Amino acid sequence: MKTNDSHFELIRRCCDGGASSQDLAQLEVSLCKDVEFREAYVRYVNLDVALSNWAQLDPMSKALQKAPQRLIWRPITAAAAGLVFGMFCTSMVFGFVAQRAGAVNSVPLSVFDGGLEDEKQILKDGLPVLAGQWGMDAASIVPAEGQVRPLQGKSMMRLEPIPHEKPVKNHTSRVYQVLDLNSQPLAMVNGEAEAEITASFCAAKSDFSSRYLIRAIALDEEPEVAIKNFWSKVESDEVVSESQRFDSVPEDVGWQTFSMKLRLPPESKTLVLIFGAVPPVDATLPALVHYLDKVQVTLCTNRSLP
Amino acid sequence: MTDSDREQHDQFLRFFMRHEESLRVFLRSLLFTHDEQREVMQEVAVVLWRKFDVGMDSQSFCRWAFGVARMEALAFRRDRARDRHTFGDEVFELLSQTVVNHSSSLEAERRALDLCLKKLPEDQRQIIQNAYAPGVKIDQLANRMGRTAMALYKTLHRIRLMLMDCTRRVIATEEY
Repeated sequence: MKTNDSHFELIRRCCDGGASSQDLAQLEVSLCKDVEFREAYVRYVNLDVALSNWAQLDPMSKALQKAPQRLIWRPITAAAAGLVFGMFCTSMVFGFVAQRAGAVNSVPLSVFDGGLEDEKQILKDGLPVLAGQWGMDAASIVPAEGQVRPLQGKSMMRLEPIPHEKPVKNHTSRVYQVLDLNSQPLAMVNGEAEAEITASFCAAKSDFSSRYLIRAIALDEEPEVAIKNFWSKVESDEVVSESQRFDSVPEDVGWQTFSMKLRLPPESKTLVLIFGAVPPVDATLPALVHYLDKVQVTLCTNRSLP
Repeated sequence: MTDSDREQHDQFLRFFMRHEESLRVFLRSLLFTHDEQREVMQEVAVVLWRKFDVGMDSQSFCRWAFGVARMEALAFRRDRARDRHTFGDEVFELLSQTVVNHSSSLEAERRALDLCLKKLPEDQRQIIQNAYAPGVKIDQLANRMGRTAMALYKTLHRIRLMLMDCTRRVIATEEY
């Protein structure tokens, strides 16, 4: 089937999510009866998936891509091999392993259970005591609220503002997650790696600018040890840590996705992640409710898989 | 992790990596948005890992994995999809056969795509980049670009068709 065939318009509507029930019925008939159409549909879908993967590469990886290679893995992540932990996507977390010059490869891992889709999950006050548990300053897991719908799944994290007058050292409304790196197949990416943390935030009201925080801290201790006296350890020069703040302006409506990277030394055993909504510096401005969803952690390495 | 666990893990990894892209394409052919496909792919991966039997060979893993993907897609569409349309058994079977039987040529097209994207005019490449970026809503993107969502969908469609022609040419001429 040539690409100027009108049947491709039906395929487009279906792939773009804009198909009517008649379109879907027609698609089903054509898929059943017409081999050429079926093959064209699969080719179109194949390209669509490949473009989605390509768009997730960072510019450096795209520049590094060498087209004329055979028998190579196709890239998905920013820089070569990686493990992706989708923390909010479902109630179970899984991982990806991918190589720079190669196909998207992934392996599921029973790393965290009870993501945001688990309504019975209890959020721990402050830093969590267990890997895979969420901790928070002032937050709750909620379904859609007002105009804000979860970016993925049915639930999202609601970050409550911490009033200026509250006598606490830090008024950023934070949530915490501790990742046990020992439970990941780090042997597959043996050596130094880089973690890329991506999170999406949304303000309950878009009339004001918002500032968000992503922070990651790598420690060379097991999680249960690492989280003891955690805040004092964070100040140590020996701890690898990265923190970035991201701003959205009033016209930024809806979910905003941000990411940052952290170099992970080979001896890293624990990764502590902190996500937060920073209150406005001007105390006269209202502190808003914000939402967090679709958090991912990608571990990237230049080493090849065995 | 014991040696036995490691062996199971490594074996699973080999099989999963070998068939993952085909599974992804199969799921996309059954689900009508990228978000749906990603979400179901996660569930599929989890189920496969939980129930993986180290005694499987690659072919039986492939058959089993496509079966799991089919069941997860069915469950998702039944419970979550707005249109509730689910394909009949025949379509599932035909699509999985098509994806498996053409896995080599589909992989070749994916590889050739890198070259075709490089040949694409910068403005079109940027449209693809923006439209496929995670979390992007086409109507919002179209709004920012001063266009209607439908116009943007059509533009994306034209670019995809150009890329399909390009990948076919690249493979045919062995330029790739």
